[in-house]
Amino acid sequence: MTDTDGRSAFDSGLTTPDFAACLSMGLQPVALVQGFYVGQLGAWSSYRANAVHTYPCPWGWRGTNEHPPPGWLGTQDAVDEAWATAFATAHQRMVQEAEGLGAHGVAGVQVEMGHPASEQSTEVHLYGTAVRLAGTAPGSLWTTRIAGHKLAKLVEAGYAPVSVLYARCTAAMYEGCYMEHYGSNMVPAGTALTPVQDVHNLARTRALQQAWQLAGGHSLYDVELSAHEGEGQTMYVTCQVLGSLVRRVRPTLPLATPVSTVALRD
Amino acid sequence: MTDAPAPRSAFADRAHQEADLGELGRLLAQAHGAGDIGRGCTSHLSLDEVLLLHAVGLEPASVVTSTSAVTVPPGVWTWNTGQVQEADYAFAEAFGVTRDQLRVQAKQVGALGVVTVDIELRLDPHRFVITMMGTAVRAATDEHGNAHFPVRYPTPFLCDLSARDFVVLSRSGWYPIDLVAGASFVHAPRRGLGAAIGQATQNVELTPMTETLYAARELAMGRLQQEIGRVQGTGLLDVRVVDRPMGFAHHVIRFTAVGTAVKLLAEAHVHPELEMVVPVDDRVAAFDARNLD
Amino acid sequence: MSTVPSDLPKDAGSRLQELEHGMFTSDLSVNEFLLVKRAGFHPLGLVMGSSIYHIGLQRGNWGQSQEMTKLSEAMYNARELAMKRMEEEADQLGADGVVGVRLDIKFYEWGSDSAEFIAVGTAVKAEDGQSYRNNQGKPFTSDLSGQDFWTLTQTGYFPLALVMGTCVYHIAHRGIGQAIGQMGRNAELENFTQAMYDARELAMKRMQDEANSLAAAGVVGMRLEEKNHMWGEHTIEFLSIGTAVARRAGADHVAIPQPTTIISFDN
Repeated sequence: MTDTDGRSAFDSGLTTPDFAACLSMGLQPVALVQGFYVGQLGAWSSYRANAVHTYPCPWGWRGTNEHPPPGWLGTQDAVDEAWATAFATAHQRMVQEAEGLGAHGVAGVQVEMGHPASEQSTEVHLYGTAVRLAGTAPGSLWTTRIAGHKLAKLVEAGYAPVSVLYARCTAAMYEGCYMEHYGSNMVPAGTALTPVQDVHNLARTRALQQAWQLAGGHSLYDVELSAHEGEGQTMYVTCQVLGSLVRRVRPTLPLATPVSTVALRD
Repeated sequence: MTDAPAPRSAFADRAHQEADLGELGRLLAQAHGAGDIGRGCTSHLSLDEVLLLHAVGLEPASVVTSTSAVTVPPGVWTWNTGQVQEADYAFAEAFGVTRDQLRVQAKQVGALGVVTVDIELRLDPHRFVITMMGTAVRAATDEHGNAHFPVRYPTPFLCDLSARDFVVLSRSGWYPIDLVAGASFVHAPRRGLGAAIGQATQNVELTPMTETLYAARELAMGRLQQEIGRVQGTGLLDVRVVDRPMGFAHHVIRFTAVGTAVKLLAEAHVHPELEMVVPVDDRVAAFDARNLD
Repeated sequence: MSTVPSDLPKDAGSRLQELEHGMFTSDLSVNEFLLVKRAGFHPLGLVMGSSIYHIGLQRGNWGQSQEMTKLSEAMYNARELAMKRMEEEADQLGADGVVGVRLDIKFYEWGSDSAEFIAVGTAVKAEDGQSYRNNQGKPFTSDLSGQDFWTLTQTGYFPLALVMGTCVYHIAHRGIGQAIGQMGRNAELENFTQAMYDARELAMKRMQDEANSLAAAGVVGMRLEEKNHMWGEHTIEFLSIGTAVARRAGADHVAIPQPTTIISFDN
């Protein structure tokens, strides 16, 4: 696309309906802005999880040469911190790029995270469309994963976007001899596998707690919570929370009673 | 990497002078720098769902989640006859504990209940792991501090209905009570060799097999109904029945049924006013020559 | 409580007894539940019927297109058994009918040449106290969704029964000479065309015969399914299935409201 006055046109990742909805709110797309961060994770194996709990041998053995040491439960704080830094830095870079354009916010933010080089590397890529609110002085810049009519609805409902939020927790559990005991015929069906329960609950609870702290009293909507379990001598459960932080600026308008419809279609 | 590139949009510069923001633009401009008057929350609901909940006097409080893992002793999957009782028990135990823990969490955040509970069942040979995740909701207050949600629950309700379904249902006077499940695992009956040869060419019902699967399915459904009775529900909607062989033991057939027990708490059922509509945005099923391979 | 029909496996009884005391179970969605209620019916319970059936052996003639009558019979009888048991459960609950019926076939690794035929649906009872059973005195059955059920009742028509016709057909392989003769040309494979025609016609006619025997006005939501199941490429089951409907007495002049045209902005 060329622009006849010789300056470049705007570029935007918005879909056509989103673009139309943004224009209807007085939001002019300025440019696609992005922020990157590629980092290195220290070697996983050398990380010592911060133990919060130990599981003594169910048979009462102490650590001997023939017997594994007691199991433990903990968190891999260093790994989570590395990812938190990666996200925060990439986000900050995207915000700076948008601020440099005199934008008021970034809408339709997409988040991509991965290991570009190896398991030891972290990559966070955030991109979205910087938008400007015509005739308004720039203030603190907001970012949000939604755009278009959803953003319009948010504003209409009395909210304002704050930022994209990411939190995570990696919990680790070394089973010691606990699982050997519980995998034997001596334990009846339906007995609680406490260490497995604990590692799952710890990862999710901590990630959500962290999200609360980062939210700073605002509301976190559209939370995507994903948990991943790794197998091995040490069981890792990683829980990630991604959401859109919003604040309420007006009392919620009462919603009109919806019309119940039955669609005549297959 | 800290220097932002120079502005590269002409369009937006021109737009800067167009001062007409429209209604929403003005709201957005007013929001600039305004404080947060809401109570903080975390929620995995969409904004639409939040607005619907507001309409019945609820608001999201917090995402709650719980996992429980239980043992399944070795050897129970070896082909045998009858029920795999250990698996029946383990499932009931894991489901019950996860549900109770989720309710404890809902209580801790002062919630009335939990909506849109996502239930993940992981049935491995040696252990069953069940995870539930949902958004706990609390009574919303209007500007005078009054709550409008009509129902008092003695203990937080749990439901896997979407917030939309919850709202639609409650407008008709029905409310969710609790999550319920019934499970039954059964060994497939072996056919006698003689029977197999005798029947090779005939059409015939394999009555013992029918009876075995029937009994197992009835057992699961019966357990489900017991659960509904225990939580004093009067009905169960949207029950999801899974009946299929276990992936790691094909001769064991799993029957699990999970759903939300509901109850009519209003004085009478309220019919929604319905309007028939014809959507005109249906995707047209077009002739596609690529499929003719 | 009536006694359990001898045809029903014994364990079916106790569960149904509980349902008679006002508790219901259903796989209807919330919307379907409200629409079924709106149509004047209350769910009574999830009813099901099942039959594990050994399907006899019949070999197709390599070069001949023909119906595999033994297989047709097996597929029909087994489904009938499942449907009948489901109806019996509904009957026991005192239901007027069964909505949202699904027919499934499951093949198990351990059951060679056999399959489980299952019919599942939600038994419902009219709230106005009238009987809505079909003209054979049995609970009506229908595979219509709650939405379609409500819409149908708005038209003054009402379901009678799920009707079906099946035909398992072996489609002849082409002779080698014929295949060579037609090589490289665009040509109609007439014996294939004819075989498919015959098989579909048979399946549909059998379904229509069922509908006629119920004195139905028509069949709605009819569909034709074609499956190979376990017989290889040349043997196909053609299953024709739909809900037979009739106009309800006293519903001669039903004014259907003009539907509103909408464009949904949903993604």
